[in-house]
Amino acid sequence: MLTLLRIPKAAVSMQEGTLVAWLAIDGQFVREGEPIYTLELEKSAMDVVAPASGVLKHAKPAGSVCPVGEVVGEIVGEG
Amino acid sequence: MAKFASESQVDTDRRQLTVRCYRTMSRIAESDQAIQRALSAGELQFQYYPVSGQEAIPAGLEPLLNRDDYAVITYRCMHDIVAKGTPLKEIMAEMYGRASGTSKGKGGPMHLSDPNSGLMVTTGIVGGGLPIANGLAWASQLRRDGRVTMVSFGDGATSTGAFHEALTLASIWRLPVVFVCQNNQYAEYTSLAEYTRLPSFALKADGYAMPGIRVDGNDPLAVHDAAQDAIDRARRGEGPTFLEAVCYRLQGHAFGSDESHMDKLTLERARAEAPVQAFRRRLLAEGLTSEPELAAIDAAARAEVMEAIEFARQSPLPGPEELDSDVFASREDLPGETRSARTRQAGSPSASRRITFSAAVTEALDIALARDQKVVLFGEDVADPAGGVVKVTKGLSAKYGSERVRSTPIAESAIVGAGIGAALAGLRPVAEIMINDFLEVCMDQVANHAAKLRYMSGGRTQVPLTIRTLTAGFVGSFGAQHSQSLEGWLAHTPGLKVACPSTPFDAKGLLLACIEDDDPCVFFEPMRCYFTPGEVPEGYYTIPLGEADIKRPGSDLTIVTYGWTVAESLVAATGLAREGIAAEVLDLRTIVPLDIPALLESVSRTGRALIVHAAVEFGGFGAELSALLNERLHGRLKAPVGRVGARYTPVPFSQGLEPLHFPTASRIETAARKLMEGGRSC
Ligand SMILES: Cc1ncc(C[n+]2csc(CCOP(=O)(O)OP(=O)(O)O)c2C)c(N)n1
Ligand SMILES: [Mg+2]
Repeated sequence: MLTLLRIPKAAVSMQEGTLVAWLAIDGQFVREGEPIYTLELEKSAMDVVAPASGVLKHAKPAGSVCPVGEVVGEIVGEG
Repeated sequence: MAKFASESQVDTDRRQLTVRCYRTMSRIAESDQAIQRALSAGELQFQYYPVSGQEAIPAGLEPLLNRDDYAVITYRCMHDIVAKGTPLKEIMAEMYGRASGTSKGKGGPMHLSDPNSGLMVTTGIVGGGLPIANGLAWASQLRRDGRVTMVSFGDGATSTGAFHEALTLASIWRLPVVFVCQNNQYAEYTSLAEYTRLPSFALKADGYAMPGIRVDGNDPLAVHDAAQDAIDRARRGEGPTFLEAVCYRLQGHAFGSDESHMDKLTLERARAEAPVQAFRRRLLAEGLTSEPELAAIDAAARAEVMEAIEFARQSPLPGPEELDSDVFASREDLPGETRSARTRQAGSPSASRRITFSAAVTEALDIALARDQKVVLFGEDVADPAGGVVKVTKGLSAKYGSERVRSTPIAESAIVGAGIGAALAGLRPVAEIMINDFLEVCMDQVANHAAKLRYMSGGRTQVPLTIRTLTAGFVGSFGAQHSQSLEGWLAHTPGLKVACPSTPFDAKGLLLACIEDDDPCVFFEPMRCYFTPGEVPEGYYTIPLGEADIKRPGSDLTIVTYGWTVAESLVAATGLAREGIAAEVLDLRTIVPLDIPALLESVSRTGRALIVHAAVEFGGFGAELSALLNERLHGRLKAPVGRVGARYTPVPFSQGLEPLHFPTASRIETAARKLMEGGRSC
């Protein structure tokens, strides 16, 4: 199963966010619920957790400024 | 021996209850997490109010509430909905905005309703649900059906006026309601200590002479046991209970919300003691169940949730035809729709006699109460001996009993909310808001709830509520806060019907029509016409909503009006006739639904329109009428559409000023003359 990682809408006013750092490296196996990247908003930051378990693939490098909904990676699950 | 057997039965029951609570908590947690996963992945994008930390509260209530017991809940709803028994597929589909959702995708995550499982309202307005719960409970009380209404709300809601009004009414009417305050210790970004000095909200219950119980909201069994008493009391007819379930919000206010206002250590500790996991550990420690049994429950919950999410993903979005369905019971009532010809329902009107507007209203209420047991009447002072501040309801409580004709505390939000709840439960409530200026203190109930519940539920619930209210302008005694004409505000809110009768005949027929109508109607009674007599048939008849009436035919211009300015316009028309100007007076009678065909027919025939209303001209409903005429009849008009409304000032008291504020016959005449001269009306 493939789960796309799109930039979440983490606040009503949010239009875009910065993927400041990947917390799991490209190709790493991640478990659902584990933090995988840090998303910086205008005044705060959040650690986005893995929505599924599987192998993480990065599609955008750290430092990318992305609009809400942009695909920044994917998780390829076992199932 | 016997004792031993019954004890072991108790143990078995307790064990079953415990497992049942755990299963509910597991289903809630899985549902909550699934939605947050979809939000994390950016698949869904909306404000979501997580329920982690609050799972135990509805889990403890669930075994006590029957399917047909009513529930009213808030935007932080996943736990309450899952526990009330709404199928997960429908919940998820609604969260995904799909046609197969509880409300066809029209309500969304903050407004699910599922009358099949007794879930009548999910409100996004803090405190807004409490007054409605009273109405549902009132219906149960009247029907003696033994149902209980459970209303849940946050700690923050205890600061609202709606909370106070609702508890006031529930107390004095001894309604079968359980008020469940889910105290998660935060109202958005503000902690308890920042907004209350009370050590416990349960203390508030004292102020309403109802039991107030504070319970550990992390423990479903504690909640269950406390709620058992509350629910039993309610079912026995002993009135409401306030139950405070103390828990801790395990994350920010909404998904993605900043948590910096939360104490890190407290949050960490609370997370370590998260109710689902803590309860799980306790079950194992007490030997009530086994790890495999719990694992099976979790797996089943997860599978059910995944299936529901998949169902939601596969479901289609609602089609465009859904956009304007469920605003009203019938699409025909939408502005701009072609209306089929409606026929006046004759009933058996016998002899007609001259009675006042006020007597006509009384007669309509009397007939409605006599014809239909579902009709109930309530408001401030409406019961005898007062019979209303202007005696319109005099004699009705004596005739129909104080259960069906009931005086209320001075609590407009509670009044309208009770009407909404009773209407949701299938009654035909007629609420009185003494003077329409007081609608301003309960506009949330009127505009956010009564108007929108049909739509937000995807047509699964309806609010056949009638609100009667006086417009007391230009009677020379009330001043700025008792004299306004606020019908335009209401007309601007999709979902409300607005009747503005001008004669005793219309008042009686339209009021009966409003009461029978399946949508919420606000019925304006102009005090200026109250004691004017007119021909009114005896007995039952109705006038369809949305049917204008030509009060005086004419060929030179149409005066478009409604309410008490109809009479002013007729005086003006008489004056104009003396100068050879034949003015037609078109009485809209209802502004929603609006009889656009009649309006266009008359104005295209006369070629001139002068719109007259008692409401402030600037931004008033007349502006809508004018725009409509210009859009539809441009090129066929002999003069620009004119307007005469109240001047842009609060209503002045002095007799030197009030007549300058309102549209008088002479102002109307002057404007009409100018229109005839081909120029602007003012
Ligand atoms: C009348 C109203 N005012 C403000 C808001 C914005 N608002 C949404 S949730 C919330 C906090 C409510 O706190 P509480 O009642 O404790 O419920 P909780 O969110 O903690 O479940 C506020 C202020 C609203 N929805 N309605
Ligand atoms: Mg709260």
